Amino acid sequence: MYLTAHRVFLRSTSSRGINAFLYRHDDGPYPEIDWHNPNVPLVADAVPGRFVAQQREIAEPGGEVLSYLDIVAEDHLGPDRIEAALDGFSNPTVLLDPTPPTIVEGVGIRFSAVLGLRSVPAKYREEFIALAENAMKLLRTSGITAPPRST
Amino acid sequence: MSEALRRYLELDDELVAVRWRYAGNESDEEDQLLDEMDGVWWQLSESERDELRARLPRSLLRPRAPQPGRRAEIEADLVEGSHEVPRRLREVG
Repeated sequence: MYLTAHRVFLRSTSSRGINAFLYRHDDGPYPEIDWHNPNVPLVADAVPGRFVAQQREIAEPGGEVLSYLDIVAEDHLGPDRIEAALDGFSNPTVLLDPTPPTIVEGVGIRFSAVLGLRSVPAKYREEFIALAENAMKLLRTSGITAPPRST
Repeated sequence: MSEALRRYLELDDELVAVRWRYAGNESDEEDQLLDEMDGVWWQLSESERDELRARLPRSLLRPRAPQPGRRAEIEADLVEGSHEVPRRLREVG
């Protein structure tokens, strides 16, 4: 699964908003992806999977991406596990210095924001939280749930 | 911190982001922010103005204009069921 949220700026209307997109990897084996230690750039930039759902505040394509949050995990991991991983990643001590893609409990996370936000750590964290909330909203409304626990 | 100083610093943060977004080029958003900052400036106390003059607002650090061929990340036009990536790098002149 690849879940991503973008803060987008559309020059033609000077409008800004957050768009979120959800992909699944249920249509192939994808042997190049190690789901226990997912490579976020590989998935986000080359093998995102099958695009299944979106939630857009800016409807028109072609907007500039001011910030983005990429989340990569197994399809069946479930929203609660994803949310817990995001909570672990959003530790402000981590966000003070932009970090390379990070794996938290099997969830690959990558976050990047414009220079203006990076220079203000508090706002940088607020931006991460805003993107994470939009991504989680899309994931939860998409109906993807964790499998029942085995006994 | 006075309310006026808090607002001035907030506007300064926004100005940094706007100047980054427009890669150093002037914009209507920048004009509006500067107008509001001018108004708030005169609500500051003399000591607050001295403090700001001494530390030079970060927004004065205007980034350079974009160079030919510089790349920007833009959102792709996605079709459900496709395997297109959501962001693409675009050359800008």
